[in-house]
Amino acid sequence: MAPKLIRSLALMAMFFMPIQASAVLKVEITGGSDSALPIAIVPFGAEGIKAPEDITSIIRNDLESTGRFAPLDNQDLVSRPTEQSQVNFADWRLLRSEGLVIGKISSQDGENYQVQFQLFDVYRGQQLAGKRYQVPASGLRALGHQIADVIYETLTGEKGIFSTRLAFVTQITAGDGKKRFALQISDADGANPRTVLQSTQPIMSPSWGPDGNQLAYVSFENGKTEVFVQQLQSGQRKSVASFEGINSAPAWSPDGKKLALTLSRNGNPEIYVMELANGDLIRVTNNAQAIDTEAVWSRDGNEIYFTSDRGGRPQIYKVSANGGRAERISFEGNYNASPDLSPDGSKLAMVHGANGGFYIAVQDLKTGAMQVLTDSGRAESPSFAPNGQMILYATEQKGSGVLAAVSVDGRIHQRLSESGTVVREPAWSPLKK
Amino acid sequence: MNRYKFSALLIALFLLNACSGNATKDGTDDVLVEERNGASTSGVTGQGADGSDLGAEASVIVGEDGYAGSELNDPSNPLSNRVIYFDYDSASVRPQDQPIVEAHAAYLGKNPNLTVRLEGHTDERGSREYNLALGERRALSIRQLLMLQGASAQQFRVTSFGEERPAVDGSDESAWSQNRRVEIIYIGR
Amino acid sequence: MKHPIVQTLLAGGTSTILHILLFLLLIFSFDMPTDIRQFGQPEVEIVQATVVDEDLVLEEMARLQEAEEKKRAAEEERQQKLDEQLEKTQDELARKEQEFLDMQERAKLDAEKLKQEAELEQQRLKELEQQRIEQEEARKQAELERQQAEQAKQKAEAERKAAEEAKQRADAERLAAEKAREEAVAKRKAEEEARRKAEEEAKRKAEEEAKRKAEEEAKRKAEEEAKRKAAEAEAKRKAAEAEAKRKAEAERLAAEKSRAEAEQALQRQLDAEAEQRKQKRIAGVLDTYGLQIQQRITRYWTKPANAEAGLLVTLEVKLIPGGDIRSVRVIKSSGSEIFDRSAENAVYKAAPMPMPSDPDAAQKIISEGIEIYFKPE
Repeated sequence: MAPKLIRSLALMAMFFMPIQASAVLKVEITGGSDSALPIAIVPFGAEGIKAPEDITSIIRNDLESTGRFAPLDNQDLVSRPTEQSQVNFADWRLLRSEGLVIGKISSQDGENYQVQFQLFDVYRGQQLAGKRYQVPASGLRALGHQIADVIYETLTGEKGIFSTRLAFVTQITAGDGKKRFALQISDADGANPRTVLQSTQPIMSPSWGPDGNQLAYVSFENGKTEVFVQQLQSGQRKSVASFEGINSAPAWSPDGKKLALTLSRNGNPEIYVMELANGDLIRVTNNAQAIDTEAVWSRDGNEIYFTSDRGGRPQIYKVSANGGRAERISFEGNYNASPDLSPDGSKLAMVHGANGGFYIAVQDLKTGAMQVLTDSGRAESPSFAPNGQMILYATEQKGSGVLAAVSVDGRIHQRLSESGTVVREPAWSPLKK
Repeated sequence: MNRYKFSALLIALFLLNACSGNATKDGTDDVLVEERNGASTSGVTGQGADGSDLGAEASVIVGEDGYAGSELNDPSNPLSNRVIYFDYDSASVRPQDQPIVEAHAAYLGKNPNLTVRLEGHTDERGSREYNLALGERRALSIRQLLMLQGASAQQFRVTSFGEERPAVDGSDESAWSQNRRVEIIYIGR
Repeated sequence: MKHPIVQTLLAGGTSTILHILLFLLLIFSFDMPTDIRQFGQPEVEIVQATVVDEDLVLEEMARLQEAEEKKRAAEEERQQKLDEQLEKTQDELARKEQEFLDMQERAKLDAEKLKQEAELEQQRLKELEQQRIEQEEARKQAELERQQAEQAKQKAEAERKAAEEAKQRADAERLAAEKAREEAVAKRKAEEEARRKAEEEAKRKAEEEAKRKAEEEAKRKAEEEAKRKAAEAEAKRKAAEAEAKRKAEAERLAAEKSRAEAEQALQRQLDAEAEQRKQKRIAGVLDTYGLQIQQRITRYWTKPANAEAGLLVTLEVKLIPGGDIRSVRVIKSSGSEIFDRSAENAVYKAAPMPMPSDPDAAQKIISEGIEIYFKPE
């Protein structure tokens, strides 16, 4: 008995011998740094010319603006190669820069420019991306954004949005104390703004057509709300809704053929869908006691998210684009409005009222979980970036409306315009087709 | 979700507690609104001063057509009060504003040739589109009262500007309370 | 008084009577009736009639007369004796045969009666003979008759002689037979007895033998059984002993084996414990080292902002003794090139890695490398 016991104990001892004794050291890295990715962007070599646009800065600012890249300061650059042969990767490794961007710009006539760039993986000494372009001087800025898009997409796996545009409403108070309103569009970085409509009356709710070439908006230019559709290339515009009462909250269907609108032509604000080709209307909501507004199409165009106070306070609901029974979507708090659907249709950004403030929040449509992304308490008009990573919104700074953006996870915040001009109701364009 | 709700409730309770000290009209009305709708009791507003006495300072707005009757310009006449103010997110006429509405109703009733434009406005907070609808609701609320007291439907044009045309610029309750309003604008015979 | 038949017989001739007597005697003297005829026949055939000369005859007659006289006396005497003997024998026979057959008894009685009669007859015949001789002498004429008588007498004599002889012979034979018979009987009896005795003896002997044999057999069997049992017991005992011995041996071996195994196990355990202690020490060092590495790499890891939960990349990192990177290899990709690259870059950026001062631990890290898992959260 005793030997048996010893034997079994010995066996057990063998069985329970610690496994890690022979195992490789295992280390688990969780979380990591949320800090920006270090990247070296070497000023492009300009061979004996002075380019009208600082492409390197455009690229650098674009990447930096996302909060996801930390370009090295120019004075920290160990060298300034413009060609691969000049690159000593070991130097860049010492700087712990994961990416290296070099490029050249040249022009024969000062009119047309040849631009080339290369993106390297510093630790492997490999080129990750590289392109050559030829553009007129006027296209240099756009090219800068385009290169930033390539770099962004290469290093993050997501579509770059630097070549997209923003639409927004500005308001200035003239010397006479009168206000001037403008509908403007700009590059995605807020730079290069151009006015597409100017008015002494308020302008509201710009909405991009899915092709990125037209805008719908609300103008008070005739003393009351009226919905217009404007072609951006030609500047041609058309009033599409000028009914009694409210004509507002235009939203393009995904196929660009329809416009959802809020009309109170029958005495109460309701959601309608207008066939743009002939102006035919379909009434989607029917709730005489409630405000139904701010339509947003689902990605398949079959459903419409909207704001309604039918429950007493504004909340987000969803209804078939053909009308019918609405389903409540938002439940957090007692004020949720201004929905915008993410490009992949999985999230709903909204204005969330709480504690007397208004915040940008995002609700996961699968789980229903809502996350508040901003903390200023003065946020409104959320609009998803076309890659779904950022949400552009309007807020207030020093009494002035400004544009800001927040990453969908709430970690990255950026400001897109400086205070001075009141800027509001931003709308991010779709990706260029 | 539950955690959110719970914290929202906590915050609401905290706010209610904080508000009860100065018993603002906004806060009171807010609670009333919620009771009416049976929603949660958390307060969205609850900041700012009492705006009820600011209405008296509102400037007279003359319609573009330039009509201004003598009664309307007599400061002692209630008709000189042509702005009705509202509590936050409310379209209900407050009791102290009832005489003003009645005066206008009577005046319009006596002068059926007169036409007014009712312009609804809100403060800047919250959704612009929602505010546009809320402004309309306020204007329609006034129209309803005026019609109940003698005016006829043909005498009204209703417009909402939402928060787009504030009476007072600013981001405090003082400005907001002056901006939550319906303007009664006489536009001619 | 004379019986008419006897008268006749006497008148007819004495020889005939004699013959009948003899015949009867013979008949009744033998116990076996079947033998009677065999004895009587030769006697009959022997009788011969002979004619003789007168002178001679007279002489002879005289001589014969004398001889006859003598002879007759002798004969008488002999006859007497014979009768007596016969009687005796008859009595003896009768006595002897009494038990056997009633017929024989009656016959015997008859025979005795006849014999008595015959004796009486013979007395009388003797007297008559004397008268006749006297007459013959007296009368010569009657010679012929006398000769005839002589002849008859001779004949009778012959016959008698023959009968005598036969009788003697018969007696002898009878005696012999008797004797033989007695002897035979005796012998038979003896034999019988002997046989019986022999049989008895044999039987007894056989019984004794059988008994002895049975006893012997029983004894033998008992002995055999006892032997067998003893053998069995012995075998059993031996088997038990062998088994016990075997068991004991087996147990001893098992115990030996167990002990050896236990010792080995103990030794193994001790070795293992020693190894374990070493490994534990290394593990302890590695634990700390792992934390160092973890902190260092985490600091240098710029996690992609869009890294979704659930991504996991496994890297195998090999170091050179100084702590610099010899190689970084993706063992199991997360599926996201960007995520994998960020992890690899984190390792590169963290280099040179610190190295543990414990040479065993350092050696282990150099030889085995490090497995690093990267997870977004």
